[in-house]
Amino acid sequence: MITIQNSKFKIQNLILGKESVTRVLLVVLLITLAVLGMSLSLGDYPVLPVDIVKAVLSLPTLDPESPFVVITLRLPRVLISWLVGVGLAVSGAILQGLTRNPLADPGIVGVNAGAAFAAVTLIVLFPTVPTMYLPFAAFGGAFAMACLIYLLGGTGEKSPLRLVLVGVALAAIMGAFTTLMLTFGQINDVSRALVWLAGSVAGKSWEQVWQLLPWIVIFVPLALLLARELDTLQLGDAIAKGLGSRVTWQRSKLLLVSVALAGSSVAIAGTIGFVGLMAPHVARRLVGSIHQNLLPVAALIGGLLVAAADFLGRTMFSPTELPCGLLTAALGAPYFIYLMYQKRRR
Amino acid sequence: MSKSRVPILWKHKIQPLLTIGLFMVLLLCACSQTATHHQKFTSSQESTLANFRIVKHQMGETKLPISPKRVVVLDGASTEAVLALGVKPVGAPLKFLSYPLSQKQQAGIEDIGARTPNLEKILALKPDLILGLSDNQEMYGLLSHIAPTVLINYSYSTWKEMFWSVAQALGETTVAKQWMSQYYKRISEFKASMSNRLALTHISVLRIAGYTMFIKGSFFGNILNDIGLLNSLSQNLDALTSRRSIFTNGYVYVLSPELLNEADGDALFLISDTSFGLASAQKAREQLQVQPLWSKLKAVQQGKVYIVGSYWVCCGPLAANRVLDDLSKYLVETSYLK
Repeated sequence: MITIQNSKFKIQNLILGKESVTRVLLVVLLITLAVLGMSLSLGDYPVLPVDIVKAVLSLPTLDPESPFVVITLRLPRVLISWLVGVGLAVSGAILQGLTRNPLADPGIVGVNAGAAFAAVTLIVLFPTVPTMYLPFAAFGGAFAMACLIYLLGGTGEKSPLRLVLVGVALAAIMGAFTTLMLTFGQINDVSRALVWLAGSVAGKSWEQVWQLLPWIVIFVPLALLLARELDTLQLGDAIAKGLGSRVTWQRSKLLLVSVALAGSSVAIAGTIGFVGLMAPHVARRLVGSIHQNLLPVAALIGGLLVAAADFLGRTMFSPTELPCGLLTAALGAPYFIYLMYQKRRR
Repeated sequence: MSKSRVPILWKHKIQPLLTIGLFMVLLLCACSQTATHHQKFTSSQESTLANFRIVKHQMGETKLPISPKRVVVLDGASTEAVLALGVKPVGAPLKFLSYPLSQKQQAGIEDIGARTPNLEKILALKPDLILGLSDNQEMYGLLSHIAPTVLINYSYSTWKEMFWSVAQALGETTVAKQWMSQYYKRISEFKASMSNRLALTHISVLRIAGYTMFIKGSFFGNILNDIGLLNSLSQNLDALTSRRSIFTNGYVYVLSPELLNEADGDALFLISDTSFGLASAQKAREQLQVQPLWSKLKAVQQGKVYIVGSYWVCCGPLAANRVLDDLSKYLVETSYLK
C-alpha cells in the first residue's frame, strides 16, 4: 500500500500536516461566521446592532419588528444558502473523485436536470398543487434521473466515464423538455418556474431549513466516513480491488450519498450552478486531494460561497434582489481562475 | 487490512461536526424566538378585529382593513390596477415593467424590487395591505406576517377579473365600475369612428423580440375581442392555432422568418421592446426590415406598419388604455388624412 502510494500514485498533500489543514478550516470557518454576522445585520430594514444581538439571544428588543427581520427573514436565508452550498460542494467533491474527472459536478449525475424538469413540470402542468410539494417533486426528479444514469452507465471498470457521458446526454434531453415546458406554459407559472430555476433562497423560511437540515446532517458525515473509500477508488478499479475494496458496492454508496446531498439542495434552492464544480477544486488547491481533508474544506468553502453570494445578491442592488445562483459564478469564478493561474506560474 | 496505514487526520472529522453542532444550537434558540414573535403578531391583529372585513382570494381568506391606507403591490399588473383605481401605493416594483410608469406616477412610490419582492423593504414601509399575483405564492406565509396579503390569479386574458379582484380588496368597486364603463365607452366610440371599416380591417401584431405572434388569448387579444376587431382575423388565427395546436400556449406562438407573410394584415403593429435601450430596439427593427419577405408584406408596401411599446403585451387597465390610444391614433386618425 505504502509503496504504491509513494511510487506511481503520489498524492501531493501527504506532506501537508494536520496543522495546515486545521488552519485552513479555521480561516474558512471564521470568514463564514463573518458572512453570517453581516447577513444578519445588513439589509433594507434598518435594525440596531443591539437589537440583532438581543434578537439572536431571544431577549426583548427595542424595535418590536427586529426579531421578525433577523430571525424569520434573514437567518433562514443564511442557513439555507450555507446548507445548500455544503451539500453541493460535498456532492461535487465525491463525484469528481468517483469519476476521476475534474469537470464533474452534481449536474453530471442528472440531479440538476432531473430536479429542474420535475419542478417545472409541476409548476407549469399542475399549477394548483401547493408549493410545499415542490421540493418533493424536485427531489424525486433528481433521484429518478440519477438512477436512470446509473442504470445506463453500468457498474464495470469503464463506468465512471460512461456515467459522465450518459449524464451529459440525459441532462441535454431533460433540458430540452424543460425549455419546451417554459415556452408553452402560462405566463405566471412560467415566471414562478424561472425564479425557481435561477436558484434563489429569497422568501425561504424555517420550514425549508427543517426540510433540508436532516439530509445534510445525515449525509455529510456519511460522506466523511466514506472518504477513505473514495481515495481507494481513485487509484483505479484494479488497484482498489487489489486493496480489498468492493468497488461496485462502494461506488454505489458514494453515488447515493452525492445524489442525496445534491438532490436535496437543488430541491430546496433550485439549480445553483458552479458551486459543486468549483468548491472541491478550490479546496484541492488549499489542502490537496486526500478526501479526508478535501471533503470538510470543500464543504465549508461551498457553504461560504453560496452564503456570501446570497448576502451580496440581497444587498448590492437593493431593493432589487439577485438570485444567489446567478452570483455564485460571478463571485467564485474569478477566484477560481486566480487559483488556476497561480498554479500555472509555479 | 493495510488500510489503517493510510494517514488519517481524524481530527478533521470533528471540525465539520462541530460546525454543524454550532449551527444547530443557533437554530434551536432561533426557533423558540420565532414562536414568541408569531404570538405577538397575532395578538396585535386581534385587538383591531372589529375594523376588518374578509376577502376570499387565491390563497384562502384574508382579513383586510376597511380602508387600507398603505398598500404595497408586488408586480406590474396589480400596480396598474391600483393606480387606475386612484390609489397611490407606498411600495411597488418600478423596474422592468412592461408598462413603464411616468415620473409623476412614480412619485411617492418606493421601489420594492422586481421578480422577487424585497421583504425587508416591504416591512420597512409598514403596509396595511399587500397585493400581488399568485406568482408570489412561495412568499405568501412571510408576506402575511408583515401585513394582510391578497394574491390574485392572473393570465393575460383575465386582466379585467384581476382588476375587479384588486378593486374588491381595496374596497374601491364603484371606481372600478366607473373605470370599466369608461373603457367600454371608449370602445364604442372607436367602433363608431371606424364604422364599416371595422369589419374590413385585419390587424396583426408581431413582437420583434423572438418574432412572437400574438393571438386570441393574449392581453391585447382580449381588448381586440371586446372591440370586435379580431373577428375577421380570428378565422386566420383558428387555422394557425389548429395547425400548431401542440406548440401554443393560447396567447403566443413563434413565427419563423420564412413564414413572415403570416404576419401580414391591413395594419401591422410592431411591439418594440425598449427595456434594453432605444439603440438595441432600433437595431432589432433594422434586422427585421432586411428579412427578404418583409418588403413583400402588404402592410409594409402600404406604409401601415406602426411601432408600439411593450404595454401591448401586458398587463392591466393602464396598458389597456394605451392600447386603445394606439388603435385610435393609427387606425382612426390616419384614415382622416387620406
